[in-house]
Amino acid sequence: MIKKPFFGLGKPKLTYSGVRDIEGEDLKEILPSPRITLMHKSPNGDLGDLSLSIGDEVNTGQKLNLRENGGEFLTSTATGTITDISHTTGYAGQSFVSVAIEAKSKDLWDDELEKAGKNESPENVLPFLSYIPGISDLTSIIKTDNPPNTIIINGLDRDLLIATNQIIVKTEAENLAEGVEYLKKITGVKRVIFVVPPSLRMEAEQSGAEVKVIEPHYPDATPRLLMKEILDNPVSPSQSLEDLGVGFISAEAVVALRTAFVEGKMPVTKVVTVTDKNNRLTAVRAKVGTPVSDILNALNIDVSDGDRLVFGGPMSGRGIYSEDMPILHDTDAIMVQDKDQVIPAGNDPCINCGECVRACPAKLPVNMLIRLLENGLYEEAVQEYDLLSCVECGLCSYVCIMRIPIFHYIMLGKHELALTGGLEESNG
Amino acid sequence: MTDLPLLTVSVSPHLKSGQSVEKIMWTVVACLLPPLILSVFIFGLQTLIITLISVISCVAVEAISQKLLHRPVTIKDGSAVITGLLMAYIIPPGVPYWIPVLGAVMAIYVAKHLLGGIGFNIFNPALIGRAFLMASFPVAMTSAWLPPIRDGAIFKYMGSGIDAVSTATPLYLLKHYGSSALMEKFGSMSAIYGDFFIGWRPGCIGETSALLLLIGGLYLIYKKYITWHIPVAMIATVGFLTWVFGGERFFTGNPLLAVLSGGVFLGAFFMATDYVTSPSQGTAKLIFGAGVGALTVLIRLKGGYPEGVCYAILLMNPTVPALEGWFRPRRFAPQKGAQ
Repeated sequence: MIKKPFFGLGKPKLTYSGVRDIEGEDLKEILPSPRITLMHKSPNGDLGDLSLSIGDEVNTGQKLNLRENGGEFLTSTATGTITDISHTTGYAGQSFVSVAIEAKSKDLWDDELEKAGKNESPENVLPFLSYIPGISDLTSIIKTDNPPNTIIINGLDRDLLIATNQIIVKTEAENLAEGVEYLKKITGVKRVIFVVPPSLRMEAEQSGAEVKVIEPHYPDATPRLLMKEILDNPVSPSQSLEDLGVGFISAEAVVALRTAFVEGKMPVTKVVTVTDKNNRLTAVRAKVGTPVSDILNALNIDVSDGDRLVFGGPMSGRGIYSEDMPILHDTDAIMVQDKDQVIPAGNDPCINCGECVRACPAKLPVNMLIRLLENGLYEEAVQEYDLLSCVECGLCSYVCIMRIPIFHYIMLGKHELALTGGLEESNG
Repeated sequence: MTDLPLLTVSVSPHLKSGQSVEKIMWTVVACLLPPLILSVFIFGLQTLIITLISVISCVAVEAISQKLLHRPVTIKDGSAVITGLLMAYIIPPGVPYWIPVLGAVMAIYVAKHLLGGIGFNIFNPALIGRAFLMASFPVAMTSAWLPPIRDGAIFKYMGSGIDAVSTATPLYLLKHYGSSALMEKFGSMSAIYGDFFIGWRPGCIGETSALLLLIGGLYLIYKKYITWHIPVAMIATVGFLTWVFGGERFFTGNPLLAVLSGGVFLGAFFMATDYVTSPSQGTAKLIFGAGVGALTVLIRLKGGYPEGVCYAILLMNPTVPALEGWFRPRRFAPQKGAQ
């Protein structure tokens, strides 16, 4: 993962994992779990007006409207009975509604999607697809106001130690090609760019999209860096990618689109890269909503007190509190870390060694930024030192010799600004 | 759910580069040891004792300061050891043993911990220690220069004997008597270059061996603990400005002699590169290094002291925040106003 040049003159590079890092270079199927928990990010955490109730029978692939109004919904990934509905709080206070289902072993497929797809008109199908596996929200690229003119399909992954998209590109090249066709059809976008590492060039070229090959150096596959490298269209901190007319989608989500349109079935499984304590990677396919413990048990990975479980990769992933946590439609990876590998953050002040500044791909003066952030001066951090240009790769914290949680301070700063509405007023 | 393990939850990233401040500090200490060993053979065993007293005093003052100020005691990080070593390296080899103890109080308690501890000090603590000693005990600090030992008698200067043998440093001779006086005392220019490069010349305890300091400094650059910018800019500036202004006429100065004498190598690789009191990025580092070099030459040629590295670095230290602000990395995102 870390390649250091022999003579130590060049910079050490962190490289993304690839298909060949995966055990068997193939996917393992995880048997359907009897306990499925679906979670929906819902700004309104109120459970009072839910249109679901305990005891409801659900079918696989069924769209479960959460409330009478508002369009929030879940997609059931199993056939069974709702046994519990609760409210959960996630990272940075995000509010989730979570629905537990006791699943039967045999799937009965809901046929609403198939019916909607009968007349070949995508508008009827799209309302089902907001939360397909591989993208947090499909409506970010499929929208009527200010639709994107370019879509970038990421055939790399979001973080180190993940090869979820890459294994899909490798094993499902034909499905991907069909998916690209549907993607063009439903978005009306002419230019679809497919970003892959050199090892997947051949597979990508079958897709019919414009292929861009990049070296798998972290964090070059981050959207804002791709914008600069591939489209030569750097994003200013005050703009979103959508403002520039560019949509991002993962290869997995493109294949999921194909499943929905061609097979008429809701995609209910997710590919997850599991990294064990020895940094061995396994790619598994499991139903969305499967508890982490079921996946780890199937792979014979033991977790004990003090270990760390992370959703996502080592640089930007988020620690989870319990093995009961289900995988979500955008959980690309689970990383298991032994308690001996957990290096706690430090309490000491910055000594100005400058490693963070040299590591920063966005060229931020991180050493100055952190001094403001530590003191809660978020507005000043935006105005003086470009807080909002951060591409959120986590390298600053990774290299910090004092182990200052710089990345966390940055995310906290952005979060606090978003809460106070400072983002709109003080952008650079 | 009681049978589920209790997990550690913390913020990302969940990997660290494996680099730590302890590793870096102790590597710097290791790089500083060869000049110390050589100094025992050049100036005698008392240099080792002075250095040990300096290091022990600095570590003790660090621990006491942190206790007094109710801060966690962090002597294990090695930074006080480095301060102790560096302070000993820039005092003459024949000073009384109480000198480094007072220096340590000034360097660690006043210049470091009263300013907030590691990371908050504006000035390099070891240099403040020396500057304080120079100002307070000028006689002890300027009459304790010893001629190098040529016969391996490393106990020569132990005990009394010191007052009788004090000598003049090359820079003192150059400043007041010119290069002919220097050659009269140290032999031909080529012999001078050789001796000075290896370290056989009068000077402070750890500053004389350009060779060993260069090896240590290059190792730190190889390990990426420091970058080349400050040392190169500083040494080049000292050489260039001495060449231009250091002779009887313009462009007749001796740049090689200038960089091989005094504390240029020690200052360039180990003092001016102190993380806390130097800038963190390329351009700012080059300006900082060049500033130190220019001030050094200015003090040497026009100032009251024969050597200027210590004050040159101290004078550049407070410019660091401004340099960081002026020469910040170029913004990755489109420039302001270009939207």
